Amino acid sequence: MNQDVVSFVLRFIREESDGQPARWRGVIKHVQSDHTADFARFSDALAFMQEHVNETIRQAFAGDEPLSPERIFAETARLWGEMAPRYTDIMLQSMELMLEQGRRMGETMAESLARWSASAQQTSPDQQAQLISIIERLTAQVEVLSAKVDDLEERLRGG
Amino acid sequence: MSDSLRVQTLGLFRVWIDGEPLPPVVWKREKAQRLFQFLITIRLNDSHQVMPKERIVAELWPSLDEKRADRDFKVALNALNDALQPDRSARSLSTYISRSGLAYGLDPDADIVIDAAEFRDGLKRAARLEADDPDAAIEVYRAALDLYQGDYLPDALYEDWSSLERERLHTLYLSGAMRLATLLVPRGGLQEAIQLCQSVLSLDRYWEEAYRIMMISHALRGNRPLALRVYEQCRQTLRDGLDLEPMSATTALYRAIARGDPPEALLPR
Repeated sequence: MNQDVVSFVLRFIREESDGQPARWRGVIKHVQSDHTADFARFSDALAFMQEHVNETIRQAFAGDEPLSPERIFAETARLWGEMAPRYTDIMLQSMELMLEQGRRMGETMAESLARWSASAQQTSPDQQAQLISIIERLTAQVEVLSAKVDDLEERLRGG
Repeated sequence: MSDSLRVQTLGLFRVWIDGEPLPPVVWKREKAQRLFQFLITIRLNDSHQVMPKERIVAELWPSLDEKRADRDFKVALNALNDALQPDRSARSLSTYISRSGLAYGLDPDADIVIDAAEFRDGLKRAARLEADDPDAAIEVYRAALDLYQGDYLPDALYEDWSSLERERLHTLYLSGAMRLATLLVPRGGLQEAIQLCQSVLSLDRYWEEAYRIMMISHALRGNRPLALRVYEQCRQTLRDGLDLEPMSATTALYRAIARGDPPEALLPR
């Protein structure tokens, strides 16, 4: 599982001067890179945060090659592969959530398959084999989830 | 009774058992050291003596699934126990680690001294002494500030879980150093006050109070030109970095020094 975390430490410093209103300034640090910036206006701190969040999003899709349809599909498939087992846990805890997510998963799978079929024609045999393997794993996962949905639905009806 | 364990977390990470330094090779696994550092951080955070395993795992192995993270936690815990107490009985925890159900922490009854805790406690004690016994407060401030050899756990700089404690200790150092400098100036400890201000400015170049105490110290030492140059440096730094002008107190001090006001009028309150 990949997990991108972007966190910041903000320090505000209040400085007093005789008879004058206190003045605030601050320091912001991006924890994962240790980059820091000083600011006297909070909008500068927000801009700093935005810049680092954007950079993380860019890096999530960065690579040696431009963003191709296959790459988008592969990333989508990978995310589904990671998310599916987690869905199992969540669904066991919440029937309502499970039904909804099962529906969404089916829809997204259909979308992913449609994208794959469009892009697969442009990929090499090796890439196609890899993608087919991912799809097969996902299909198996969907079958497991579908069985759980059926089982829980049945239990609900029985209850 | 366990041997005494001493841990340096400020500036460097080092461990001594009964006065003997623990060689880095004992850690075998990086995660064993990280786990120990994490448990130290929990100890420093007054609200936690132990933390549930699932939360420890979520912080230290965020990218692993539950099964693998659980396995890696056990391996790291075992390596940590081996590092701290290699001759303990098999499969037992070391006397420094406590377990309460599925929660883990440093054993509150074990003899463990952490420099960051001593630093923090020293500053608290010094602050309490200031009003009644400022000379004693100065000594306690000095001893506490000497412990701050640098950032908290610098080898865990990019870890989320260490950043809060690092920031807390960093700001304690800045404010403690300024308190000590303020106490030193009227007692003639001008050179030491200047060094403390330089140390603060090396960590935060916009700390205006540090510029003011440096200006006063130079002026009291009879070096008015240097005091005025410090003001210029302050003004330039604020302008370049934050587009701000010095505060009125700083400018008033500059004018007083430029006019040649008597030194006692410059003393900080």
